[in-house]
Amino acid sequence: MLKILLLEDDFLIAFDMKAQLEDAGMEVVGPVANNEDAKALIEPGSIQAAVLDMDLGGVASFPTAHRLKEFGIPFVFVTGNNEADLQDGLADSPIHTKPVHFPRLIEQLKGFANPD
Amino acid sequence: MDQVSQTQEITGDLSFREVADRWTVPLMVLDRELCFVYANRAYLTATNTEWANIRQKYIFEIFPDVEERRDPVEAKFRQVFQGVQTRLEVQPYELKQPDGTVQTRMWQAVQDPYRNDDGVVTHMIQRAEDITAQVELKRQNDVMQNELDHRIRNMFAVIMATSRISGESAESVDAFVDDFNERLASMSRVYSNLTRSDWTGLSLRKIMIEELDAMLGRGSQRYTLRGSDAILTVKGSKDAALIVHELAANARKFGCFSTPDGHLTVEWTLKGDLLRVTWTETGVPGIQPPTRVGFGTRLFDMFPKLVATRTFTEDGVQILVEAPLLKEDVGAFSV
Repeated sequence: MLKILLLEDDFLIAFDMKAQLEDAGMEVVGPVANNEDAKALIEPGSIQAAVLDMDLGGVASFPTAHRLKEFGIPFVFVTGNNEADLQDGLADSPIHTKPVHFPRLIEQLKGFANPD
Repeated sequence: MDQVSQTQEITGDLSFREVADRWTVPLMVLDRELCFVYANRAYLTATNTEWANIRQKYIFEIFPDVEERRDPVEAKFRQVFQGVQTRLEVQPYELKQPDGTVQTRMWQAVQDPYRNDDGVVTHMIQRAEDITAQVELKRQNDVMQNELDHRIRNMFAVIMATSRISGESAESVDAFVDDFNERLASMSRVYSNLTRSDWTGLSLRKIMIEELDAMLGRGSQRYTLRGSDAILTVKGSKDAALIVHELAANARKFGCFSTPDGHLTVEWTLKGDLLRVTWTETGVPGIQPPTRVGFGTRLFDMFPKLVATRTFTEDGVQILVEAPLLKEDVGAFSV
């Protein structure tokens, strides 16, 4: 089963996203709401992909993204900010704007597992 | 008194020339050939020039610039001699204060036609307007627009999540509409209170009163609150309001607010940063654990740092909630 780390600080969005991903047959690790908790869950083999809310109550989720990159784990950003600027090294990361279109998000996450 | 004598009376022995020379606003005058006929001290300082060097000189000889930048400026100056007021692009300018400090101000050069008695434009007067305040206001406005757009998108995402959550646990369309709208109403109360608090966070007691009064009516005697007040973070305020709302909604469906004699007591203590809340519903004998797991129950599983235990008693139900109370929003689930 595809294991997805979910980093999202809004409770209701996290709750709903977990349900949507589980309905799509994925296993959700988390949700967690800050970089420290997220990074603690990233180990080789622990997850296959991650969904990161870009703005965690004013704190960016970039540290988690960089950690995922180190481990070669793919991820997508989710943000309400249409003109979000991505830091160096993260510029090519996929972004889904809120409200998220779930079919597209799920398709992308599944694509990470079967890259062909 | 005619205009001329009025002017003379006001100026007294102060000459207009001196006023213009000493004016803090950079000021200069060009003739039809775009040659300098006047520049005050502020202009000379701002442009780092001396009058002896620019006197009667063609302006673009003094300030040669690349053609792309020079042509539009010259075109504007020509327009002034057609009788039109023009403005150049805003320029930052470092202004030395009398105390030695340097302040960056935003200047905009404004050109006005100067007409002689026959109405012919003989000169162009340029003054620099200090538009620092407008530029700053526009910047703040842009930041706010972006922030507002961000918040609205987030809000829609939250509303959509709420609708799906409500849809999953509701037994009928009517029940869905009620649950969904009450959750939205609760959120809207939190948002307007947070706005009123300048987004600094709300008091735990106030959140409880708001949520319970919304269900029971203002000043209701059906609940008792005991505990010293604490100010929650913004995130803590939203999460706490959601939890109180869900617990109260459950109490109305199955618990102490479902019968006329039921009563709720909420007591809380704060030890260090650990908040312990005891939610006690009484006057509901025979209350049974729900057969299906609703949103209100699953809610607690979603807060990893929150411990909730529910005990059914002879007379009702007691829910004990323990959660770390955070002083600042660090993106952690907290109540």
